[in-house]
Amino acid sequence: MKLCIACSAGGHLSEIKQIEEYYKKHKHFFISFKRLDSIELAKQNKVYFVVDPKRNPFDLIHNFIQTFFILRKEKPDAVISTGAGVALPALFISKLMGKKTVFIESFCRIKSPSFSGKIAYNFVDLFLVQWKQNLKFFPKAKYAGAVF
Amino acid sequence: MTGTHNQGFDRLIKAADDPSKQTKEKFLIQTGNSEIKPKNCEWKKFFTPLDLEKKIQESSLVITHAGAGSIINCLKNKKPTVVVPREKKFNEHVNDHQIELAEILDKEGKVVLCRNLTELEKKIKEAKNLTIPKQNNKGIIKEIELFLGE
Repeated sequence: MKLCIACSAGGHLSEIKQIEEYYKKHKHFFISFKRLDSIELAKQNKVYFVVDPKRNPFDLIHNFIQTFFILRKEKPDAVISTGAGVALPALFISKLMGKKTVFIESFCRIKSPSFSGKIAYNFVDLFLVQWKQNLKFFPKAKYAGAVF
Repeated sequence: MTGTHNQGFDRLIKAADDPSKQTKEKFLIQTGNSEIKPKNCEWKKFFTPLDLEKKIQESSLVITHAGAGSIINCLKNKKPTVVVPREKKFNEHVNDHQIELAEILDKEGKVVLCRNLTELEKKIKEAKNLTIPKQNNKGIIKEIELFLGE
């Protein structure tokens, strides 16, 4: 099984790294944008850098195109994401390609859902929240604990 | 630690750099995207992730902004942690979700929350009495494994 791990650099990347013991058992690659921590990640892992859409339509289209070619080349079986916007095209395109999609709502989301979470919730196959109280925003989601 | 967020966090830096503080321990300040430069402590704008982890491991206690990654990094390394959330009203962040995270973790006894920096030294003392929780990611990994089939 090959995994695509799509996430923003920063906190989202820190969160997904907490389940490294799981994803490193499988072939995997990352999609993220360039920052100090993702550049460091690229020293030991396969990382594709794409444009961060930052809620800008032109950057979003650019990201879609980049992501499409990455997914076409890599052909992952599933995409796992902790958000944010940079990962939405990867999740969406993968879903259209019939791949399994997993979204993990951020550890820092307690009293309100994230923007990317609200969008991903509509189409991903498995939506996980890290705080039980978030089930009220995402009733079809599952709570299985946090990454920490 | 002020993290890598694009807004400054002068409030925390000033408090850590305050020469009148009683705490005798040496402070190392990661200033991030703040313009202010400490005058009384060793400091650096950013560390590489590896170096940052090393600095955390060498510390007896960490005072950090309430970024999820920063907090997890401290707890994983079993460090007493004082969390100072960035607040929208001080232009330290775009919203107040850091306050929510810091409050809930403080309530769970995993960190000590400090919103008023005049109480920083008191909070440092409190943090030294914390029992640092162990990481527990088994549930979430199991759920993903079950779903993906391997």
